[in-house]
Amino acid sequence: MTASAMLYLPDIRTADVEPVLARWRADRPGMGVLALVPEAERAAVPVLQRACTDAGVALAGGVFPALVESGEFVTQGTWLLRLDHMPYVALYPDLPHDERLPGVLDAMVADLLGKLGDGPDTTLFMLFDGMVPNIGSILDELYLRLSNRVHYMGVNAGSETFQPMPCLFDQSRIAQNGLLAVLVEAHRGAILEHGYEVPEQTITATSTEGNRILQIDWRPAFDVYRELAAEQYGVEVTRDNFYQLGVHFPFGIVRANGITVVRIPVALEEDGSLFCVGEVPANAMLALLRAPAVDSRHTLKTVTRGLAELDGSLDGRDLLLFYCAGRRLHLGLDAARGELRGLAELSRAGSLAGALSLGEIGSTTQWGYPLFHNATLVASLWNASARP
Amino acid sequence: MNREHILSVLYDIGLVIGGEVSIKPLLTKTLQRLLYHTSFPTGLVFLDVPPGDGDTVVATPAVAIGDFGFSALVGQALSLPAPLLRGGPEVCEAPELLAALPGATRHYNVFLRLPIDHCGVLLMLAPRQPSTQLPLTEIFRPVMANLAKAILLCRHNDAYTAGLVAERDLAQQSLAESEVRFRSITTVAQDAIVMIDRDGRIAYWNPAAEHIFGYRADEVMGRDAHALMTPERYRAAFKAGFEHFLVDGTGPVVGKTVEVEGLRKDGSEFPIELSISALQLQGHWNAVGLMRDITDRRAAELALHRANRALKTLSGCNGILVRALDETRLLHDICGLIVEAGGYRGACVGYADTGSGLRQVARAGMAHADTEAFERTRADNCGVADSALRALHSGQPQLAQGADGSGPDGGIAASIALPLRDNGAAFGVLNVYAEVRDAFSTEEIALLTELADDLAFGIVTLRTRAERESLEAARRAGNDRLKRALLGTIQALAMTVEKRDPYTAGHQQKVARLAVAIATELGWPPDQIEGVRLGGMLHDIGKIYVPSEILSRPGKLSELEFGLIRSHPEVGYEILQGVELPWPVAEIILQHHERLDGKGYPHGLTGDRIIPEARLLAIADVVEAMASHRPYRAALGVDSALEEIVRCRGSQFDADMVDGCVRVFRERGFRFE
Repeated sequence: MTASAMLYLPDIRTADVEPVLARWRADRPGMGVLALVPEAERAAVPVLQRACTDAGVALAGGVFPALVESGEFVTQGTWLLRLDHMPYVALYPDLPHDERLPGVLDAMVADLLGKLGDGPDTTLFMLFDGMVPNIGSILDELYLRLSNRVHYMGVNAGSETFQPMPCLFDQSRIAQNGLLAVLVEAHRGAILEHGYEVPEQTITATSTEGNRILQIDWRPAFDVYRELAAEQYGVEVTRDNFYQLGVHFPFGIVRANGITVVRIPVALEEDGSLFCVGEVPANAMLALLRAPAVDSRHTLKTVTRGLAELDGSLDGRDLLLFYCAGRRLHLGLDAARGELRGLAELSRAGSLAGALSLGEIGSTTQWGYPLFHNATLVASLWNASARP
Repeated sequence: MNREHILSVLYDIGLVIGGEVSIKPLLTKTLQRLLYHTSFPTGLVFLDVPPGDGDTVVATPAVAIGDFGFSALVGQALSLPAPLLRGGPEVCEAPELLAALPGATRHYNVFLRLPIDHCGVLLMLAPRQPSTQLPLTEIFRPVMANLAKAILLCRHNDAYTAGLVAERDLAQQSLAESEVRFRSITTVAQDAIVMIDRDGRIAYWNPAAEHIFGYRADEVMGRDAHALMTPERYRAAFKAGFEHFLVDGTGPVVGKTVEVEGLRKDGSEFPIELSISALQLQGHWNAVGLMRDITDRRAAELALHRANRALKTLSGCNGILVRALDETRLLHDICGLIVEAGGYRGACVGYADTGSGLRQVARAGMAHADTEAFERTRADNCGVADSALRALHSGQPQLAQGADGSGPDGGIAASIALPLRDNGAAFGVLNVYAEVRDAFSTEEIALLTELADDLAFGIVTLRTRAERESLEAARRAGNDRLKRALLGTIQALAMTVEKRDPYTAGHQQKVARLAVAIATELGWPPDQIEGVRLGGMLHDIGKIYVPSEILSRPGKLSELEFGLIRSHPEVGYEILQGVELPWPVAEIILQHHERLDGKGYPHGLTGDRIIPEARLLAIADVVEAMASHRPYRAALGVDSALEEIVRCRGSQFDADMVDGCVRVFRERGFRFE
């Protein structure tokens, strides 16, 4: 069996990191590392950067609310994900969300096209800062320019408190409000699924602006939320408890194929509008998903079946998983842990590494239109070309 | 999926369609939303699909998303299977048909065709039919109808916009060409062209401005124009004027050409000819200044002014020289002229004095002390000798420069010392003083040198004339003395003649007295009367060669004797013709026996050929001779004598003179005694 390309270190110490890098680099001089760091350990990012610099190993990574390790959500340590041939990595900090965006994307695409190899399958793996407000538009523009040259996969990094912080890094920098793009070659993308069931009866939300919901049923959004919280849970909505309540009343962008794109409101704005992670189409009519039921079994089957269709048997292979933080809140910790363990069992993966994410990018099919989601699981093979 | 869900999908797509005004974004975003909602990964839009019923159709994709192979073919006419593009809304699994699509980079099995009413076809492709519970071919019908209308509107808008863009491009091109022309003109212009914006800052600065003021454009753009270009003492006034200009674009110098002082980068000031125009941009007044450095022109004007001044002085000098009678007066007038007509600060003339110095003999416009102070100051400063002395000794003009403005030198800043020369040697110096430095141009120096030469010539001429007049006076005095001596001798001879003939003693004197009386009666001038008197005194001097016994013998004379007596006019003429006298005394003597009728002697002259003095003397001679005693007869008396001349009046004697003689006796009471 091939040794796993994914290693969890409980502590981020130079003494622990250096031997791993040395061992990996001994056989793979062109290797690099993608590191997943929990928010609580973000101060240790420079330790990783220094160690990789000293070892001559390329580094890229992100800071997430928590890591997924051994069927648990942990807030210490780090996942070091080895890439046997370090692909092209580009860090684009401070993305604009105005008329400058097309120019920046033109340059970005030209940059990526220049680095694109000749292989049949390349995945554009994107780590966004969760505070970027126009990820949906960016995805539309990227798909318009890159088309099917790449598979699309990605997640949002950042803090679960939604406080701005630098959360994307490479070997020498750590940035925020940006995008870390990795062109992973010989990779066929990811499978994304949420399993949220859209009820027959919904409340229609109206009047949106950017990533803010201004009205629900033509009433101030906060008024509706306050009534719902009181009705369903008998609690008073405050800024502090809004995220915990909002996960139970996410918005759904209804699609014609019957699959809803979930938007979890995560904060209450000063003006009473609701802030979502991920862009909401301008003036969109949304469905309000009141405490949606989640079919976990269906979700896990969809993911594992999709992965199998992409890459064949997952048995003994490295699996990378990003699990939405809002989903964990909605389902509860136990149910979330159950999904983690269920996926490990269903997939029969050798190793399962991952992180708690603040939004996910992918498609429900291999070739679908790339979308930005909330409340999903995004899974893919890691080091996909390696087989046991 | 319920009705609300369908409506929200249609609402979303409808919003996208309604939100676009240009065809390309309309098609792109509509297709993006359809792909988003249907999970088809790839889509194309064909507009204006030609009608027909063949197996293939030539169509051009206007937009392609999701397959870079199709994206590369956008805008190109493609030959496509007709069943793909023709027909109503349809979801169809047709791998063979889709395999005929040019450019595809993945394998497609399913397509969803959505006709856009009369405008084209929207085609979505997938490897496998995405799951859906909706009749996609039906629910998008109203969306496609809306899209068709939106396409028409966007095309109109695009055409309109393209027209505007074309107009704008044309205008921009025209503007650019105009700009190029403007830049070309202003770049090659010799005059500075500067634009000042409403804040008083420089907004345009052409190359000539760089050359004239010494600043590069990048040094001055956006900086305060007045502080850069205007001398400190004028800035407040200029700024006040500019404030007024900003109100309505007018001002006392706007639209005019004025001469002002400019300030170079090196701090030096220079004269500018300034023309200001008002230019309104975006509702605000800007000033455009056209500036020309007129330093050279000013210098030329000054040189011309000075040359005119010198010419005027020179002309006046010539007038004085022509009229000059006195050297002292000449010097005074010339110095005065230099100051008053020439406008110089002062002038003075010095003559070479014993001891190789100069003695001032005339000055104007300033005190002697001032000129001395200037010479002293200048000499102290320069360490050189007095320029006037140098001019005197060198014979060449000498320039001296002092300081501008008044001071111990009495306000003199420059002087020129011009030698007064006679035959190459200087005998004096004309000094001209001015109040400013560099006051004397080359042309002016030449003219002043000419003036000094003229003055010297005038002085020398005056001196020569005085000398000649003195000699002439001496000569005339000598001549007078000689004439007086000669006349005395002649009179002495005449007296001798009279003494030899006691009967005629006193005849010449009496004749002379009567002749003077008649001439005076006739109103003759005194000078002519004097000639008549002298003629009368000497008219018989020729008888000196007639023997005295013939003269005094009574009785009839022989022919020979009478001939001797009749020769006395010619003899007398010969005696006196060599004596230079201002009167025709010799001619009077020669003709005093001639008669108007030609019966006189010695030459039988007639009428006016006999000079008046001789005609008059003939009357006086006859009257006195007849009235007096003679050896050969007794005295006939005055009356008889007068009767005789009256008898011969107009025949032998001049009628007026006869009348005069008669009046002298009858009316004036003339008597010989």
